[in-house]
Amino acid sequence: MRQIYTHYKILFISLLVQFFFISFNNLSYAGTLKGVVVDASTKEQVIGAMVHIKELNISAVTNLEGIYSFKNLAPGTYSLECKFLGLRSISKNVTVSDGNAFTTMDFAMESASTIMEVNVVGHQNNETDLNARKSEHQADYETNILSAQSIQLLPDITIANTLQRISGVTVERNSTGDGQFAIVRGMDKRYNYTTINGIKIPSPDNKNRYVPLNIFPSDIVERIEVNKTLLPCMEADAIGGAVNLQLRNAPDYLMIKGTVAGGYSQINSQQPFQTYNANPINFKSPNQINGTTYNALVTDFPKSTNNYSTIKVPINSTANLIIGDRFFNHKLGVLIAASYQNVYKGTSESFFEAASQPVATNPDGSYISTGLNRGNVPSFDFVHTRTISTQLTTYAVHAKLDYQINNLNSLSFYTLYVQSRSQQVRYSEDTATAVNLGLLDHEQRSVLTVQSIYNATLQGNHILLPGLKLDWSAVYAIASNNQPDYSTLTTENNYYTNTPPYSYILSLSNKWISNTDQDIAEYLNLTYNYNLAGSDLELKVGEMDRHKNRNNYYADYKLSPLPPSTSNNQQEFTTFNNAIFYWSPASAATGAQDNPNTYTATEDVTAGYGQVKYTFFSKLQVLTGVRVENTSHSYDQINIPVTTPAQHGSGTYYDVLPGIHLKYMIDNLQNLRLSYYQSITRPGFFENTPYKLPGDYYDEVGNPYLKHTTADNYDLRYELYPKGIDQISVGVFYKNLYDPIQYAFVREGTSSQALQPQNFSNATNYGVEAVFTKFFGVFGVSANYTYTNSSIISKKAFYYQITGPDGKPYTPPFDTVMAKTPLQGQAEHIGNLSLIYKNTKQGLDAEVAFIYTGKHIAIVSPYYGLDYWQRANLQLDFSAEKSINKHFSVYIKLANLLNTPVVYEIDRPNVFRNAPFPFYLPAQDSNNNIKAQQDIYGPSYLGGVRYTF
Amino acid sequence: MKKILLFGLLLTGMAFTFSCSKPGSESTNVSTPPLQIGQTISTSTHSGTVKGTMTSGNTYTITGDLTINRGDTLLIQSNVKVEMGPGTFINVKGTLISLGTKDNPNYITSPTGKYICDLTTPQQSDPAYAGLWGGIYCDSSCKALVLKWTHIEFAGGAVVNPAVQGSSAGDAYSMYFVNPNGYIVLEDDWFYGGVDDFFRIQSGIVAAYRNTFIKNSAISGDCLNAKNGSVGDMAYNFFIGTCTNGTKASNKGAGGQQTNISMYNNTYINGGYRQTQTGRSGAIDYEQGAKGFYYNNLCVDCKFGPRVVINPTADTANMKYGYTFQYGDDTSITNEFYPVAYITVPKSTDIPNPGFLPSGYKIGGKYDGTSLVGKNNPMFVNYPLPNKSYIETTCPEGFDFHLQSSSPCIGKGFTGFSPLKLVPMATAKNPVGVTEYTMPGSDIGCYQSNGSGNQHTTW
Repeated sequence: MRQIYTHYKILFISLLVQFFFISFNNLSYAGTLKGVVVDASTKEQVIGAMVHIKELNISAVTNLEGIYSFKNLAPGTYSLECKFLGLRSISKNVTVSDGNAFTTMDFAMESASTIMEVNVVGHQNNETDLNARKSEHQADYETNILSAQSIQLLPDITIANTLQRISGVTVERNSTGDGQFAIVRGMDKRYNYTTINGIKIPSPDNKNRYVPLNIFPSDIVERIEVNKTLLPCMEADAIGGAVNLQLRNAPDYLMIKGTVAGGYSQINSQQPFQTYNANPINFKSPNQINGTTYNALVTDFPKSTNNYSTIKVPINSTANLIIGDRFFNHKLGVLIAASYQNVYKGTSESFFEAASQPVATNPDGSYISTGLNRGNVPSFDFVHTRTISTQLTTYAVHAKLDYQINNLNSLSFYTLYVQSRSQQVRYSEDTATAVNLGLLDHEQRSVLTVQSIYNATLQGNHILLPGLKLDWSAVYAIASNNQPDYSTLTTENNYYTNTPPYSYILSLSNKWISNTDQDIAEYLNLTYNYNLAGSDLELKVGEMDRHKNRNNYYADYKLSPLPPSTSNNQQEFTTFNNAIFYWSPASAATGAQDNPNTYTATEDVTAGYGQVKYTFFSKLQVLTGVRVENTSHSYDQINIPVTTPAQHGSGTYYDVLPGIHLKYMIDNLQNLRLSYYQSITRPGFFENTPYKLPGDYYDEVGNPYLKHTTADNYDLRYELYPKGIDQISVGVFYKNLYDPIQYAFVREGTSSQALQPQNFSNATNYGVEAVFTKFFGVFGVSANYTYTNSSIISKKAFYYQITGPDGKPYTPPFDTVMAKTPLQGQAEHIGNLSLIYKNTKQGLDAEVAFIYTGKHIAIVSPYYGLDYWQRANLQLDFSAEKSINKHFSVYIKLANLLNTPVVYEIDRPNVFRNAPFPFYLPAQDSNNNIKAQQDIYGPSYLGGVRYTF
Repeated sequence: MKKILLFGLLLTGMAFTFSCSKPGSESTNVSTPPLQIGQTISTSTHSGTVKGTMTSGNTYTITGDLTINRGDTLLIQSNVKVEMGPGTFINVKGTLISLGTKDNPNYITSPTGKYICDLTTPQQSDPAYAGLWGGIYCDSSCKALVLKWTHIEFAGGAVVNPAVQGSSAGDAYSMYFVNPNGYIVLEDDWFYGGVDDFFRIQSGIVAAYRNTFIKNSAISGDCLNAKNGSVGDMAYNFFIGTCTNGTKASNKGAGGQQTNISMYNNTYINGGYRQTQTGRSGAIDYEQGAKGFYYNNLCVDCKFGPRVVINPTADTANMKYGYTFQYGDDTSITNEFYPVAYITVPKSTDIPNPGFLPSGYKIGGKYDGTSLVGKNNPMFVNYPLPNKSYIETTCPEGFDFHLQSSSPCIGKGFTGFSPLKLVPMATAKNPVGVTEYTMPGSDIGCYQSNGSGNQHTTW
């Protein structure tokens, strides 16, 4: 493995060297004729404009700064023609003199026709970096935008991974190392929302309302916008930020684009990729099919789920196709996009499992009785070595139709279906440190997860009167999640008593977990523009309401190994096909249908707003207004009797949320923004339901008394857009949260502890964000950095020993303390650095991208000092694209080149590193913290061909 | 110009008016169980919320869950049979008292239960482990569970609707208790069968004296499993054919006082063989912060000797023990008199004397116990040893575990300690309490040669 690694390093370095060689080589041909092409109306550089010398029949294309150049031209007079789609062509003559002197000829291009001025929906090409920058510049709110043009070049293939390139965004990863949820400005996923074309979408997540962003292939979008401040006309339930995926629009002319790529995840050459036949799995549980009183048969559970085979060389593949055109005299626009990804991911994981309750004494018997360091010594029961194989297949189809009825009215319809199917095998070998004398537990877990989102939106735009606009949307959306036959088999190997059976079965569990989340919503906005004292006054009012229905189903079938007739009660494990199971007790055959995790929930949100926008003295834009949101929600644990406390519940609340957004336009290139607004976060439906679930780390319970969070948000940002896609912005923000929600210690009854989402008095979050993008000819640097500092005071427990009056230690009842920590997921420092090479003439683009994510709390512990922190890490990716001809280009995406591990650690002195058996923990690398988990994903490579018509 | 300034003023004013406003109030309605007044029980009561007295000589047929409300008491006089239907539970939020007597014991049982005491019936066909009815689940408001001369049999059906704090769907305990201030009095009872832990004492004040435990738990679970917030005595109990341990103490849990359990003069026969996990012990277990003491216990052919756990560690600084008498018919048993990988310290008062351990023996280390096989026969009145069918022998049927006068257990007990005695004594007016705290006995095991200790002669 080391060798392979070294090889690839050499390869990589040589690639880099080549890359610079080509570039310098290129610079040495400094041309004799050059100039800049700008848009006459906006004064912005035009990228990709073609300048043609008629006499020589040669052309040059303008670079990212709008500059073209011709080298080694013979002296003489030439006829130049400058062309760019949508702008009027210009012809000019130029005389090039002797020698190496530079000749300069600039072009200012004007609009080609009046077509751009007609009220047409979505004709602009929003996919370019330049347009993204323009939108950021012109927006009424603080936003950061990543265009399809940038995304195309990035090494990422899912939206979630792409998002972490945006300033102020980190991602929370799943077990495959893929980003899944966005953390914006250090605010956990619960504080953000996701929209598609501005419309909120439901989540297939079985616990929460936030949308897993790894199910969206990154090539379906026209742009990704991360909105850092909210206007009254936007939905108010984001405190961190709102992520908007703007899907592609119908183009002006026939467009056909497509890609096909293949790739490989290197880790699959180092560990077997395991899979199983999932076809016999029934998506409904035996009791969903046969009724709640049905006694499931052991034969109702297909054996194939636990019979594994290996895929020798799993090849990743991705493809997409986008077709768009306009018909009927450009009135009807149609765009259809489809995307397919099939990726085999491997994870090598070391996981040291701590008992949910710590112990009071150190391994050497010493103990601390007072202060914040008292007790709370983690107690590691198991050392797990896990091999995780995940096949992730994603399909996305998106269609958009827009119809221009006349100059005053237009309609559009778009629909999206995304499905992600993850088939995962997690094979663990667990050494119980407590009885580490040849007892080895094996756990094999097979999980098929199918998640989907469907959304259909009909929108209308109408000009009712001069200056008065109406737009509306009608939305239907449904998200679903299915985990059928979630199967866990545990066996144990006994090299201990040295008597057969050496391997025997402990347990088999088959769960069915499913949920759907359906939204029906309508939005209505009225905009009135009026010229007041030479400046535009915009008045806007609107309303929205959304009805949400949620269903959750949960069943757990626990099978027991049939005791053999031999004297020992342990059933030998040979193969899964030979294993024999039965129900103990017989009533286990109903799969515990009547559990609190099966429930229905509803939520109705009605909102209205009014806002005013006016620009004073052409310099100061003021946008202010207020939004009112009214929420009512309910849940019903339908399968348990009303005699159970909190079996059903409901709640209502409303919020009046004012906001004021000032934008001072220092000049054409600079903005200074200042804003204040209030926003909220609603608890997940799941969190309001008194559920009870065993978690991976701690048991979790719901909280029907959980309140929503409100926040004051203050933002100040300076922006400079010097030229092209160059950009400098520096901003600060401050947020004050009331009733923030954090998972924290709760005593369940009198007897056990769990994590529960709870409200705490308040939390603050402030930070600084800086973005810098600059191009030097063909070279560009894009960097962003965010500093965040948050704090929340929540309840933490102590388990410790003190010395009693008799001089002997004893364990007093649990103590709790209100302790200050950062918000879950908030890293103090995060940053991105990309070195970009864009040579339009050669048709070569390349990017080296670094992501730094500082340490942050990944998993909250109910005990003081035992939170799991994710160690700071640096990730390196490389991608490049080279056009071959007018239609084809080839590209590569090389991800995770440093093979960055994800490490979780507990921030307290490591008393296990040099401890004697059975307390010794392997793979420790520090005396100051305890490594509790390490995931390695390996680099992955993808190469493909792009076709553009 | 004036107009613009005025307008600007208006806008600013608007923003500030709102910015001072606070979010509206939030109202939450969470359902509480519909109130049902406890109905006085009669022989025609088959389910529901009950209180009152089950009277002597009657059989009660229960077809749905019984609930005893907070503050209410259900008292069972002697000579009562309660027949529990499939899947039914007794949920105790108040007090449950069963006052059987030696001559007129009570039964809480399943009408379809059948005792099987052969050596051949496979476990999965034995109704003992089938969970023919649910169990007795006592909530955090339960003041007391008092069972005297009472048979609890064939319980352990899985919980479907968790009705008490801390229990979950799928739990398969025969009895459950979750009030750290509530009293659990188990005197002279018979406990037969079960699926998971026979009695999960999630927290409570315990006095378990002179009971007989037979064939408890199917493939995992202990007979008396005390967690954090549990304190009290477990003495003179007789255990045979238990799945895992007879008595276990752990401080796992939250918030209550430290687990502190005394276990003395108990007899454990053939324990630990239905547990499918290796290394889980078969008689006595202290782990995870629990403290207490154990003396004068007799273990015969149990899979493991008393286990004191290192990780997560028992509160060894506050543990005392010794005077443990062990007998084994196989090296796999004698090699685990002091279980390997745990920290049970051999005591000079133990029988056999730990002098057999090799020099250089480390606590928790392996040793060769071959020489101990069949040694130190405790000399029961009628239970032939050696018994090569010790795994299959799970019933006391046909045996008598009293000690012969020549038994080496006689006179070897330690009497220099006092039980915790945390439950008050019962009085003529208040049956909630202990009838007899049997003090430490001079003979090892539950049957004393002077006739004290466990009083059961039949089961």
